[in-house]
Amino acid sequence: MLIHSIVPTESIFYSDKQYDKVSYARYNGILVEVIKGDNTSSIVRIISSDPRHYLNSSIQPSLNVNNRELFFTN
Amino acid sequence: MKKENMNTVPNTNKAEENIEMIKEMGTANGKSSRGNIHCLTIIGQIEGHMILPPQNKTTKYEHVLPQLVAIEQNDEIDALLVILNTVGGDVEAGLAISEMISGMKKPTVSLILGGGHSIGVPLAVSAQHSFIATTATMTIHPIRMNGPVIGVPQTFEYFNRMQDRVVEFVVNNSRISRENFIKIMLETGKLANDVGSIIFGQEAVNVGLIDSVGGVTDAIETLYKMIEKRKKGD
Repeated sequence: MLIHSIVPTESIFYSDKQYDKVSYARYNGILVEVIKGDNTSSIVRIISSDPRHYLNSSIQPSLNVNNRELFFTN
Repeated sequence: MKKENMNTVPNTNKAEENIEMIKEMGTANGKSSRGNIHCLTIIGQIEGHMILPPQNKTTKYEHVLPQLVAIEQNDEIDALLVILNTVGGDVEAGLAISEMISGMKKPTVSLILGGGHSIGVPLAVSAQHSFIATTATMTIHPIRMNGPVIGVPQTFEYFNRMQDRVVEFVVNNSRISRENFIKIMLETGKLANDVGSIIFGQEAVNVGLIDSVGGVTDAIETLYKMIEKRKKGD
């Protein structure tokens, strides 16, 4: 693998901390990165090129969304 | 009086409808009459075939490539604005995204904010017009490889060929000459413990790497002009 970055490779691949595993889901067709919980999931970020999706107040980062409203892709 | 009412009623209804839409859907009907611009943010590390540890903020090519296809083929989208603040990353993934953007027919403009380093350089030049913020920086340095390296002359040749892919793309998509780009890339004494150079906003324009210094308004205005030109040509 070829890495072309200003960040040293040892920093890129170093990890000693346990982070929450993220999942991907669709909310009304918009792809979002979430941390999946039992009933609700916390929004991490929106993955879209449509600027209007970022104005959607129900999927702002850190908000909890009911899992029933999400369609998980992984 | 009656006439005035007749004129104001539909407008009020429309305004109320817009407010209702923002309340209900959290969206504003943000389409401008001059064109609908989609915005792609390329942030953090460009992630390639390996999933990077979660402390890295990454841009994943499997998310970006289908979005670019959708932008190119969707009739409702008129142009693409690429916003870059990246530290570089995987060469193959970076070049794949760059090739996709440079192959698009719809108007494309890139804007570097903060930094567009390493593999961020071909990404920045891939758009039809590139902008850099005054305070933004670009680090230009040779590619490296992780994992075991066989200590034979062929390894050097392999590195040279891999480097050529990046150099060729940058030279073909910007005004900089091959000689000048390689000179900047192999400079010593500019970076504390590495070969290469760091260049700021205006310098990037002066060497011919980036088209202009500017911000978001300049980028959007350029896109609108490109949309108008394209519509006239159709």
